[in-house]
Amino acid sequence: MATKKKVLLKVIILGDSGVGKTSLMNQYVNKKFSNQYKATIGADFLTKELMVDDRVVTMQIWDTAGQERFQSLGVAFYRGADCCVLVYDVNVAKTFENLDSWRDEFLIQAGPRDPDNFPFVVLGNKIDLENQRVVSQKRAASWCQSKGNIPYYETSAKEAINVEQAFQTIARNAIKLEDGLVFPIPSGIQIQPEPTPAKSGVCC
Amino acid sequence: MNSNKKDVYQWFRSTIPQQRISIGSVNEKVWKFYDYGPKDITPLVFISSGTSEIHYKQFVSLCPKGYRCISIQFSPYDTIQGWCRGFDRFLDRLELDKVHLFGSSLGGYLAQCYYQQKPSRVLSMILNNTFSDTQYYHDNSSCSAMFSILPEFMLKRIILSNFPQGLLDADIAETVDFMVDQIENLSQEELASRLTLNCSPSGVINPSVGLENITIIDSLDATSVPERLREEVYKYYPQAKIALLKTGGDFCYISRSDELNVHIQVHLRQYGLDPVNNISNSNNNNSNSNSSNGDGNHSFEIESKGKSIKESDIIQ
Repeated sequence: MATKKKVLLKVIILGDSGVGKTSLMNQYVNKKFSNQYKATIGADFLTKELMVDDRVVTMQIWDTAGQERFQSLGVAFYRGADCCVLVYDVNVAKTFENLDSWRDEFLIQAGPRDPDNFPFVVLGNKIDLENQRVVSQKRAASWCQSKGNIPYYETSAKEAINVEQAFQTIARNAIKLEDGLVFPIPSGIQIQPEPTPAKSGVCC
Repeated sequence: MNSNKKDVYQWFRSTIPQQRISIGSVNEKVWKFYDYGPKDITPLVFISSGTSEIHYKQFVSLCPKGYRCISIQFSPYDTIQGWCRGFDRFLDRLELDKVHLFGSSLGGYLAQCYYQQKPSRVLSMILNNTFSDTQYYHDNSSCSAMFSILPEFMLKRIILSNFPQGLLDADIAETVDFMVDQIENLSQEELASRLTLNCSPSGVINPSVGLENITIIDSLDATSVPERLREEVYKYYPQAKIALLKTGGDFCYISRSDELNVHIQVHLRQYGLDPVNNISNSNNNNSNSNSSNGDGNHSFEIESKGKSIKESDIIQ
């Protein structure tokens, strides 16, 4: 059994409350959608196995609370993230304007090694409500370009539009980071007994 | 960094007293344990093959948030059935009708065995780097019938031979050092009992009786329980939620305690314990009772906040 090392990708979804973070995750993992809104408390995760370039990858998707008062878990779950998904509602301008602060928040809390090249993906959700739209595709795309060419998808968790494609891109970008990390890991500490140097009589 | 970690441990030892209960009649059967948190809350009981101290990082992080934690160091038993009866009596003595169980390694196996015997008492389980079948250990131990008559140093050597070796991440190496220290605190009887239970003949766990409320937390780089055995656990509990950690080694409850504690909180929230609701409840409804009996708790909170600030300072 020559199995490759298991790959775990940690993905974190951020965005204002009510933009559809939980719905997107549920649509992708469980293929379900519910119109009822229930605020996420703290954070929860779902896992999904998928194939990326012939490798089996386990994606651990963390759905977070958009409302600050529910963020009770602290920042521990940010640690070791491989990709961050920023979600906004194309029908609410404020949620788009807040993307900047969500991105900054993530970079501060997660403290990735290389913040400039850390993989983000932006999702403009709820495009099924087309007639209420206030944020144009052009505006969103230019914001993404200005932040270092962040991939941008317009999705609908309700109608399952672009959800699969978006998460494929998320996985692909996350795995790039994971692969890249193989190289710079510093050498660990050896705990096997090493030959102790002969004691010199002098202290220190 | 080193000294600060020791501070957290020292603080735990000096704040929470170790308790003992003897449930034997003719022979003493002493169970050592730590118990901290609100008494009216269903506790999370940590079962491990090590000492009762090794879960100190869970106490330090979870108790101030309103959880009740109990960490046990079980009395020596030489059969699984005996252990389950003993544990049942231990819970009786603490007057606990329902518990959540957290078991790592052998502790996880024992938790599953206990659930088989007394499903009504177990609300949920968290299994950490564990196995559902002891056949592998039974087959691979040459002297499983003789553990009880082997001298202490040989038992220690058998256990330590299973510990991770070679190049390790600094956190994990430090954790291994701590665990080696802790083994020193176990008596010959305790060591022998743990090895005997670990290598007992298989067939205790029946996969068809699957509890649904299970989270399995595994670190991908754990070595002492072979991957094949860990994956078998997933098959025993197809409904379980699987929470993987990228790294952390065999003792991730120490080396990756912050990530693991998040998983514990997520798990407990699903099964009835919700820190946010607890806080709002206690603020709105029980504010009186809180101020009357909460003096001890209060100092706990303040102290632990000081600690956690220190910890995060180091990380950054």
